[in-house]
Amino acid sequence: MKKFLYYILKVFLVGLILAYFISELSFWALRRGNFYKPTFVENTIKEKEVDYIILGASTALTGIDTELLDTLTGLKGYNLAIDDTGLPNSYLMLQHFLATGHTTQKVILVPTESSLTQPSSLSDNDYRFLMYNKKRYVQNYYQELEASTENIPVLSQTTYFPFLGLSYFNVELFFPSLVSLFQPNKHNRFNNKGDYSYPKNNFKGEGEKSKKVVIDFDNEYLKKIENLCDRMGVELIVYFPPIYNTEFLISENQLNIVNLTASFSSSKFFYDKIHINTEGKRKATLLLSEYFKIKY
Amino acid sequence: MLFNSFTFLVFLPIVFVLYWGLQKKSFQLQNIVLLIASYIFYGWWDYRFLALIFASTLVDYLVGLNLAKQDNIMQRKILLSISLLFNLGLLCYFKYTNFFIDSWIEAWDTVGIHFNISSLSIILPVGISFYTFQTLSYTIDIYRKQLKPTTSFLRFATYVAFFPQLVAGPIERAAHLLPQFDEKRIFDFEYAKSGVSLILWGMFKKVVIADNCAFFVNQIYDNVEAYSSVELSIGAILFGLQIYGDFSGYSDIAIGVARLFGFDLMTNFRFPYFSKSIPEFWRRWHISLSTWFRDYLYIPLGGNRGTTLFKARNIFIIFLVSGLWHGANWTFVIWGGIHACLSLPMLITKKPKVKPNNNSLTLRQIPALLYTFIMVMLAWVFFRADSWSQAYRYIERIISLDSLNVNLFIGSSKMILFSLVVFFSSLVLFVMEYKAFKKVEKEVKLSALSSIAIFLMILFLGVFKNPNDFIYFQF
Repeated sequence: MKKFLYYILKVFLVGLILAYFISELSFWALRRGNFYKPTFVENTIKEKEVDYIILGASTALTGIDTELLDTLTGLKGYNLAIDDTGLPNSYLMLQHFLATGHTTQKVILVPTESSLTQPSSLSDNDYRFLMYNKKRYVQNYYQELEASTENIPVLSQTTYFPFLGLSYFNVELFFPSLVSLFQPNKHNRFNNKGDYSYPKNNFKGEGEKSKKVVIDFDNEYLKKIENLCDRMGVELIVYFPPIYNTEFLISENQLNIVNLTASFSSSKFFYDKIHINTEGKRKATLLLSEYFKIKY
Repeated sequence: MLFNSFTFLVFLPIVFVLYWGLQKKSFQLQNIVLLIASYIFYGWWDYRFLALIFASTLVDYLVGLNLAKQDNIMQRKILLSISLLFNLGLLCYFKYTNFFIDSWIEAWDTVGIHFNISSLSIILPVGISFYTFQTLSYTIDIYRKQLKPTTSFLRFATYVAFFPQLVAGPIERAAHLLPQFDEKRIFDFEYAKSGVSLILWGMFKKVVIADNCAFFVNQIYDNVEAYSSVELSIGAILFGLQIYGDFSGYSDIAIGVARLFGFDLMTNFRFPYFSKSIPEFWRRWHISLSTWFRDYLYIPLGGNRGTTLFKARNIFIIFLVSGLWHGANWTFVIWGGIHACLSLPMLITKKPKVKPNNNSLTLRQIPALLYTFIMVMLAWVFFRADSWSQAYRYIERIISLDSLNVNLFIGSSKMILFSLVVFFSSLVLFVMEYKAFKKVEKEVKLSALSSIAIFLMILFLGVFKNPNDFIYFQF
């Protein structure tokens, strides 16, 4: 029995040590590349000071033409939104942006209705920060949000067992790390400004009833973002891009709000109910730039 | 509980330690540990169905005891009928009730008579096809006076519920497995090591080969019309790899886990894709089921004696029943029928039977190997399709050779990576299996170094985020 246990221990220990090195190598390759937004922040944004950054989920990723906004306003900014995420992830991205030695004058936060109303939880794409699992703010984020889950805390345990996260998210992390090794400049569905565009399609909006939604801002992570912006002297602007047949009614608050939800009545500007297409993005950016011109 | 789950990763070492901790005390205590562990293993999925296993165990245990005491042929037949009716009744109710109802309605529909009957809401208990066959073989063997019944209910209950092979086989025979519960188990290093090697190899086949193939296969079968003939052809091969990786992977893990507890389970797969004919394929694929049907159905029907027509009838019966055993759907029956048809030429030409351990593979045999491989892959289409019309359309599209497009596999960097993983891991599978095949080994043996390599492949190329159930669980 002892001989067997020794054999198992030997095979598994050697296997785990090798797995550890492969994982660290893989995370290193990801950190070196630009595949996901967190490494894009560190490796592509060369300016230490930018005028604005955009945070949010897919509506932010596809809702503003950053290059056009720069041209129209004379400002310089980047879109750091990550699709399928919530406000906790936006907070993490802001922390990460600041921790990598960058500063910004403004944060354009694009929250979705659900991210403001639903309880804070892990989102589908939180693994995209795993290559920074040794950073304290990333560890805190994973520990805090995984504390309430019944599943194995894969994300937070990756700090100690790097192969855990890499193995669980192998399609999302291990395979891209191989891509990053050979093509460090490749991005995962975003351009050099961090934007992604939805093409024109045949969205007709049929069956979508028009509605008005009252938006409250009582959200734990929105408060955290506000507080961090205050501490760093950053201006926070909350931007709601157009939504098909929907108008957000903004409750009383102290925030700078740009509400374009009811700006487009035609379905031709939409890719689906909540995402605008390339043409809609261009038009929405023009409207947003007006706000900037008036305010500043 | 799934073999490829974190729960099992915790469960196995606990049972292992408890079990071998009792080695010096009594093997009866070890049996109790195994029985409790087996019921926990099964109950983890749905504890309510433990009652079914217990009932099946009790009925066959009592029938077995009474059969041994009884000399009267009539009484013996009644006892055997009780076992057959009970076990096959359970199987028919849980597995085939809705199939028969739907087929009945459809049959009358075709002649314009409509019945207003809806299907029943019946959950299929995992592994019912496997353990009912296992207990049936016990009573039939006693009836045939080929086996003496066990007097210990504990031993029999542990044999029926033995967790490594409870839910998806191999379907063990009492003559082989039951006596092992009567003996003192002594820990054997080499044997346990070979068990670990098999567990790793089985896990590789499941989470690397089968689950990565499933990524493409599911897409293709969800929308057959959207893909080209080449993509559909590759899809058919990928399903062949998926089901092999999935099922033989499960068998390997089961055999490996059993070895950790000192038990020997029968070989269930012996490199089936190196077969040079369909009959040979069936001597290498799901051996425990093929031999079960051979011993309890084919031979009682007359086997290969009599006229060619008689032999052909027997072959058709065994393959059609085998198809139906796999699932309550006409696609499985057609799949069985295809294999019966493909087996007939061998029967008619009366070619000499290839011995199972004849692992020669010469250049002259390559066309026969390729023919068998292609036929098996095409037959799998019926096995995987949702309906016979979908399978027919699938085959029709392949034959049409309408497009050489392979966008599904190279359309994006993600797809290319997936394709590379599938290609590379399949290459590893075939190279390792070919080596073992040539050496006339019954399984792939991993050295310490190759165990580490396979462990790393499982870790980094396996599917853990959205694990797929084992396909054979549904049977």
